[in-house]
Amino acid sequence: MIKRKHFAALMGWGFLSPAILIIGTFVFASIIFALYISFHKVNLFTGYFEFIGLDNYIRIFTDNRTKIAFINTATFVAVVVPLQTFLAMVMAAVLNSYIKGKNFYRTIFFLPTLTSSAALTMIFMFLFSLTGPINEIATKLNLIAQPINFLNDPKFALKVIMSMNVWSTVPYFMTIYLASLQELPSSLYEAADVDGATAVQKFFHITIPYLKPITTFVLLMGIIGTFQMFDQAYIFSNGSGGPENSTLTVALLIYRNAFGQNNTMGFATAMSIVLSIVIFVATMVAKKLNQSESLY
Amino acid sequence: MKKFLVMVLAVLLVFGMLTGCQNKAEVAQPSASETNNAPAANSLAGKTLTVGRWGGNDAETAAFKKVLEDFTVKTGIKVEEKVFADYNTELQVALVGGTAPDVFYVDAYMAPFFIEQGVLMPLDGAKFEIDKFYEPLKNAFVQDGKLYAVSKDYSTLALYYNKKYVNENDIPKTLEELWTGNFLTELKSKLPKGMAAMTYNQDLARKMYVAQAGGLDIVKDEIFANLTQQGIIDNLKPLIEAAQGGKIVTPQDLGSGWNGDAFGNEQTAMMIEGNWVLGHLKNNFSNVEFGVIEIPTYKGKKGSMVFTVGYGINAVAKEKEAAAEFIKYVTGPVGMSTWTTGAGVLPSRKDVTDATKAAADPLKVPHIAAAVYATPWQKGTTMDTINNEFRNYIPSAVKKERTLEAALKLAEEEANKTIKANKQ
Repeated sequence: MIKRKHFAALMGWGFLSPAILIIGTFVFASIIFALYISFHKVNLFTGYFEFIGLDNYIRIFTDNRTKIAFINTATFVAVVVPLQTFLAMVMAAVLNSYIKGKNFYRTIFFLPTLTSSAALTMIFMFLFSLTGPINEIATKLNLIAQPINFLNDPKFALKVIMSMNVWSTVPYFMTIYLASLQELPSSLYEAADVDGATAVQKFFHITIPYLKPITTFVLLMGIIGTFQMFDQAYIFSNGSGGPENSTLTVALLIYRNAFGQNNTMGFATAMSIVLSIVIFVATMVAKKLNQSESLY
Repeated sequence: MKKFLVMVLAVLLVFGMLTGCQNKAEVAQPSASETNNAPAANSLAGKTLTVGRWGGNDAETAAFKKVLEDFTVKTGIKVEEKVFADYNTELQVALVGGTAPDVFYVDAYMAPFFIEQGVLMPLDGAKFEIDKFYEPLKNAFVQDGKLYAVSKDYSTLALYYNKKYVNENDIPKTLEELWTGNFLTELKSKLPKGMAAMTYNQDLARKMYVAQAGGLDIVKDEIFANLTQQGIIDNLKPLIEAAQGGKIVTPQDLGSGWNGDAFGNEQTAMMIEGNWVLGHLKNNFSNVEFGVIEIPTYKGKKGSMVFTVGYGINAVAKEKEAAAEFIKYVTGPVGMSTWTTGAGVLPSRKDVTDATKAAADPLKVPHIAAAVYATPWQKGTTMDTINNEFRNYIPSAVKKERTLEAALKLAEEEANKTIKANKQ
């Protein structure tokens, strides 16, 4: 006879087993297998495995292209994350105030998030093309003498993707901020009004501190999303990461090493493991920085 | 101890569930072939074959379905389609995972890679009447004298011009004259404002025949980039100089995704494109009147690129005989006629070209003519890397930030560094 206590435990395990099985296979086993291949020279087609120790990891730190990819990605994160967080906060604050037709604006502003990033990339490539609207407007306004080849110039290519990414992610984070702002007691603003605070002061001294926990979440999601940026760079450069490696992100480089003709899965997995460590560290730092400032 | 018991029971439970699933799958399998009543007295009748391909347009899908139906009626072999969206990535995953179809499309460009990995079964050329195929299309799938896939159709590049703006007889007869002469500049001055004379692509896939003119090779020692050989630099120079001078522009410069849209929207008067653009122009830009001619000669010789896809058999396929039978049918005179006329593509076999009167369409004639002399888009197993670096640095040469020599030198160095590291 099984005792009642054991029966309960068994039942627990039984209920958990589908989840354990699925997560175990598709998450934990995959991670362990990835770790395993990252120390090997592998050919998955022929089943060739050769232990090469840390060679794949050493290549990450000696390979010039990997360095470029990490620098590009870091620049991308450093520009996009603060910008999108700040803009989302400002837009949320504005849309939370008593302006006419704010529901209309909320809907309109949310549209970019609903559009697929592939379609967005095509639209931005049209906007920024040599004969596109941006160049046309800029030359008409005499801001520039000659149309700029944004798409084919290493100085501009990544910046176009940055602006696109900010534009498409801000509304999503804005919605999260807005949800939190609905809960903000109006008495705080009223008290500030009595003290004669300006709108800007209220924003910096009430809204921002109040939203701090949300900001942590937004920062984390932003950092994770931007570090993994792949699709926009892929479409933008037709998979090459060009011109002159200016749109080569870590995720794109991983893809290029894992698939196509390269067949360097070991190196690709080593790189993805380093990338996940970098993301982990960056999010931890961001979290700490955001918490260390005193609340109120 | 008790904890251990609980664990064991939990594991048993899970296993029970798993084996339960497995049993079911086994029971289900025979019933699929049971309903099969073989029409022909064929030992292969009743077998089920899987065929992997990428999705095409509606006409291609319909033509493919028709070929499958005809094949099943003729042989009694059932065919299941497996459509991959991101073909070369998904196919690789399927091959590694052992779930790849018995027969699948093999892009000539990827063929050397797949052959090297040993995932393709060598084929007996005589069985597929391989001598009736155009030479470049046959050779694209031959390595060390062995055939690994059979071409199903092909596309070649030809020169398209808008009849409203360009008179066919005025077009220079050589690429040298086209790129270095005044024709494009004069044409541009006559065009509406903002319209380009001609578009081009910054991709080796479109100009390997130019780079290799005169019997040169952009790959040395089988895998390494060879872009800095003086002859190759000289070959590319007229093209790059034309781009530097703004005589030719990329479709992206015009805000178009590709040549087909730029040409259809009358943003450019001329382009060098493959015959896949014909359907696009007919369906979306029926008002544009255009003509097609062979690409002007370069270094005194006709040149073009040919892109082809073949059917290959998975080296570990379960139904190898049925697979060979399938390829024999679809690349045979009947199957290929159905496919090429339905999908509007060009037949890889000379006899089918004649039988289907593919050359009756004057727009297709220049493309068919090129099948004999065109260079297949394929070069060993490192072309991905080489072309990538080429595309990386050519824009700087076009913008005159670097000389062509310097740009190609950088591309070659970077490519070879990567190739070396990958092969280590």
